[in-house]
Amino acid sequence: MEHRNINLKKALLKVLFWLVILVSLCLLLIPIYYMISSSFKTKVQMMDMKQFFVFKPTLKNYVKIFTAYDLFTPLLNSLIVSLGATGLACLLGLPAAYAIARHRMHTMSAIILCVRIVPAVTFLVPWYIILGRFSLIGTKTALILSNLLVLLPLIIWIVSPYFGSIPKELEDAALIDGCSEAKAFTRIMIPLAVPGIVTAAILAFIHAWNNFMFAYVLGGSGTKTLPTMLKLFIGYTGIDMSALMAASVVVTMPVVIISIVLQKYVVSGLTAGAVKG
Amino acid sequence: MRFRNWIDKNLKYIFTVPTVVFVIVCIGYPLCYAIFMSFHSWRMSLVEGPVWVGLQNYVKLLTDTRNLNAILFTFKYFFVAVLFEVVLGVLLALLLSKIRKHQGLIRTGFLFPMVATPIAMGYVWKTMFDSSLGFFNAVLRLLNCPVVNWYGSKTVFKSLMIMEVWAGTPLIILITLAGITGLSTDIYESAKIDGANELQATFRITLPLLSPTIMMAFMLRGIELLKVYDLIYATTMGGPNQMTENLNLLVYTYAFDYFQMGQASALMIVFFVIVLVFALICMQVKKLIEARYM
Repeated sequence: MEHRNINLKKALLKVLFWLVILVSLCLLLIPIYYMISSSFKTKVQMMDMKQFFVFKPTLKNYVKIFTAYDLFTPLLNSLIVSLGATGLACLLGLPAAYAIARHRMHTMSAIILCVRIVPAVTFLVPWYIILGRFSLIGTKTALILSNLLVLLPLIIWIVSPYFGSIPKELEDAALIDGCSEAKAFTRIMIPLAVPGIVTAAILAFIHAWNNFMFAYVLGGSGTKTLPTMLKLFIGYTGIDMSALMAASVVVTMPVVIISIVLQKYVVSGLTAGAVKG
Repeated sequence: MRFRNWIDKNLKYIFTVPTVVFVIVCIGYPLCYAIFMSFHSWRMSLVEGPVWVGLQNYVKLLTDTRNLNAILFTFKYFFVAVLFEVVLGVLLALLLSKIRKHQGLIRTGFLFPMVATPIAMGYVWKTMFDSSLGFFNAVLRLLNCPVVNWYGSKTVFKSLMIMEVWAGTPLIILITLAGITGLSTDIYESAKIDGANELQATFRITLPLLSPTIMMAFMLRGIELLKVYDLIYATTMGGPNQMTENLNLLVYTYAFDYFQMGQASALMIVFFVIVLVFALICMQVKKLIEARYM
């Protein structure tokens, strides 16, 4: 008798367990599904609940956003700015991360952390004034520099532990063999820290791609990036819902696909420093 | 040859100089400029330069209701969101850690809210919450329930919380999951021998051991919540009637809508200090927790 009661309790708990997981999954997926499915619907189809799951898809929205709204240039701008900022951040940041890790420069480390914590808008206002004086507002340079501001501390923060975890013996062996410290850095340290570098670079790229505030304030008519274009779909007469969904898909999908393909790196980067190794 | 030697000797400086220069020029200098500007009043005109006003901007912060409301709303947003996100996140992580296989699939599922462009998702939510054409009201109509004005003054905060918790909980889940998988199983075995059941094991062992990790997740998420901008900009723009205006949005408005650079700078410095103090407190608490449990 008691045995059956315990089994029943276990079964009920198991059902509850899977119910919670399933409900959470559904709640998680609803906006994603809505966004993607709506991008293939017309506005009328979007409002019709009977066509929520089963509907006749159309590519009209995607055609519209690239012809009537011209998302090509912003797409290119986003790519250039994100890649440029990430590349520059790696160029400046990797050597700095190495120096901080190897020579235990704690004060530098603390400063970098502070820059990471501080809200970006704190730098935006002075930057806007200063860049305005140099007539750099609206140029890609301004966008790349402003993104560099955020990416550099991020890259240093993620990569330093990787450099730190490489045993010093390897470096010493190279130095004994006649290698200079600079060569040891490029030929040994960087290849060994590649997982960390890839993680940092991907996260930096995602950050730069998703950036809205900087691009909106410092961008000009020819240098708009993708996230800033979304506002266009909201007009006085109403929201161009289906086109907005298609544009949102175009904006989010690149980083989502990169994250899924390289999820090992993305997850380790996002949880970096949170878990005691 | 001598050049090479010189490079090697000073390598650590050569490697860090570009970054240091960048930090000083592009971060330190603008920060000092912002502090300078916060004691002045300037409307970005080339004719009339900045005018010294002393602490007037800061006094306005404490007396102007709009400023006070923004500070209060920033904290309210932070408290409620972080409460839901951490509680839900840790609970879900504990449940999900029981699933042996498909951990990779779980990670994939939770990646989307974390990396999807916040402003884009903001616009998606805005469309879903739309009073007449949106998804949620359509579902309510289907169920013969009254429709809700999701961005009206009574429900706007709840709507914001729904969006924020959707976007923020996955990070907490992933960090906590990573922490759980890092725990050793020895303690659990000895606890089982001592007669502890599943619930006791979770509350007396797992949670205390996870507290540094949860603290870190709390800090990371908390900093993001204090700084939230894209989501509110896309959906309510701080409305209705500046109800949902937080510090970030207000600084932005002062600086780029009204061009009141002095006031914006003062608010900005206060905002900066708030976030910094929060981060420092979190790190201290984390150190205390680690000292207690490790």
